[in-house]
Amino acid sequence: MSEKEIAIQLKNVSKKFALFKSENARLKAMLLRKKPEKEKIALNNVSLEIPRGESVALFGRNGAGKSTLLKMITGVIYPTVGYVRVNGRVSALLELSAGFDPELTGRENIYFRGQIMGVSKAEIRELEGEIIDFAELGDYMDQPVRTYSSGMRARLGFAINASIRPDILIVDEALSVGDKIFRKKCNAKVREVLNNGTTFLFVTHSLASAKSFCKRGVVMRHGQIVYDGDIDSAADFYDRMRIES
Amino acid sequence: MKQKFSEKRKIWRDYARAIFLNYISGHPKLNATTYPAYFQQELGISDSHSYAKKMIRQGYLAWQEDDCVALTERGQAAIAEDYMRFFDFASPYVTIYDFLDERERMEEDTSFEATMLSLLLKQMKVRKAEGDDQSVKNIHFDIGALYEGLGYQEDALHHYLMTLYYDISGMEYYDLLVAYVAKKVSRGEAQESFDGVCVEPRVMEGLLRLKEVCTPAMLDKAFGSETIRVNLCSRKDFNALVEDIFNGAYEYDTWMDRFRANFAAMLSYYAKKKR
Repeated sequence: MSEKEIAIQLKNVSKKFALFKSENARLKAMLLRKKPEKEKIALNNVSLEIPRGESVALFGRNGAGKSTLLKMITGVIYPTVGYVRVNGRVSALLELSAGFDPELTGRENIYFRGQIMGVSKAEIRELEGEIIDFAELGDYMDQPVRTYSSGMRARLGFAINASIRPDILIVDEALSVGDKIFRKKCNAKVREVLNNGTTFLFVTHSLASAKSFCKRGVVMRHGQIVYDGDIDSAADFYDRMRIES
Repeated sequence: MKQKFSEKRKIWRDYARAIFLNYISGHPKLNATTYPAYFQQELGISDSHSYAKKMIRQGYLAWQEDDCVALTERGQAAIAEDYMRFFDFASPYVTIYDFLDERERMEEDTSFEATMLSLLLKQMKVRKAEGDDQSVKNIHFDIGALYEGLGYQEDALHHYLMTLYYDISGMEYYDLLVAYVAKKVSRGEAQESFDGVCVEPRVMEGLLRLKEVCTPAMLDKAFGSETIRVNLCSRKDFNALVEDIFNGAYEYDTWMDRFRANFAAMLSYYAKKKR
């Protein structure tokens, strides 16, 4: 399949983390080129293809490998083995309140964060009004972010990441930020983004949320994909897995 | 014949350029384009903006209206189909140098599929000799996909069955079993470390697509035809599992319980041998 049609491709991807008893042990192993005593296999031979425009829910218990998978897709970490290919601009709604310069104002942080995400100044200028309206921070927009509450940071983070016209949108339970009215707004915003043909990867423990946004579900366990199918079947599979555990 | 260093540099340059130009043809607005990270990780293109400008200077791309670029004739010619197919196939087991070397070596059929099949079968022998069961399994799947693409359904199914055979072997527990036999872990620790086996969804999908061509003889041929260091699955279990998959009756938890019991039986067997 050509890279024009696939938004996210993982092929035979494994990720191993070396575990050491102490930092000294880590340094010693590095200098003496010794194998670590223990290895944690966070992802084990994962292969996955997500075509452009598809909306996929990613299920799994804590420690299943979901976060490692997301970090690979967003480019934070690289695989030990295998290929990870992501085509398009990725916007990840993860840890929304992180990644701001606390001394800059909310408005300045829109440019700061946008540029980190590879968006041109001209494009940010076009989107600035939309982001400010969405965040609903009023006069605080021109105050330093260090004066914001965590909820305010999360609102600004969501407004920026959801507005930059991503090709791929990744959401990790971030739709529970803010009060009920803001959450409704966030859900509507995500739907608007999806209607534009954006590829969507949604990590959630909420089966209802997953079914409302996604057509396909992938279930992970112990660093492997154990189920991949339509959302209803995937949700049932995950639900049975949870109950029997 | 293996390429010299200078030839390899040219091959790499041509290959990276083909992938890049193909990407740009779908994302012509240079200033608004977000270049994928794999350009750097896999192709060594550390500055994609500069590389794009270099492509323009060298005549592979040309400016159009609205800050867009388009492939020139030279650019179109640079996107060799086999490079794209090789890239899309994404096998971690063969390099583009291996591919071109093998194609040169082959006399009759130098198609992409024939070349990849020849290469992957050779790689499988190498990995088997190294005891790298995981890679052998992955190569079986890739070979199955190639055969399926060519319409050779029985051959494809055979390789998907082999992939399943490896999937449920419990090969990932080989080191644990060795540690148990060497008395480095207790029986309880070994049993607790068992996390089940994973039948990859893509393997099941492959089997389901080709279930109409499956015969009992094919199942017999697949089971036990290759030596794996660990095998949690009896012939009876293997056949029953395939039947469940074909009938849509595969239940993850039921089969994990069965494999867990098989693992416990294996530990008992080794415990008796140790005495």
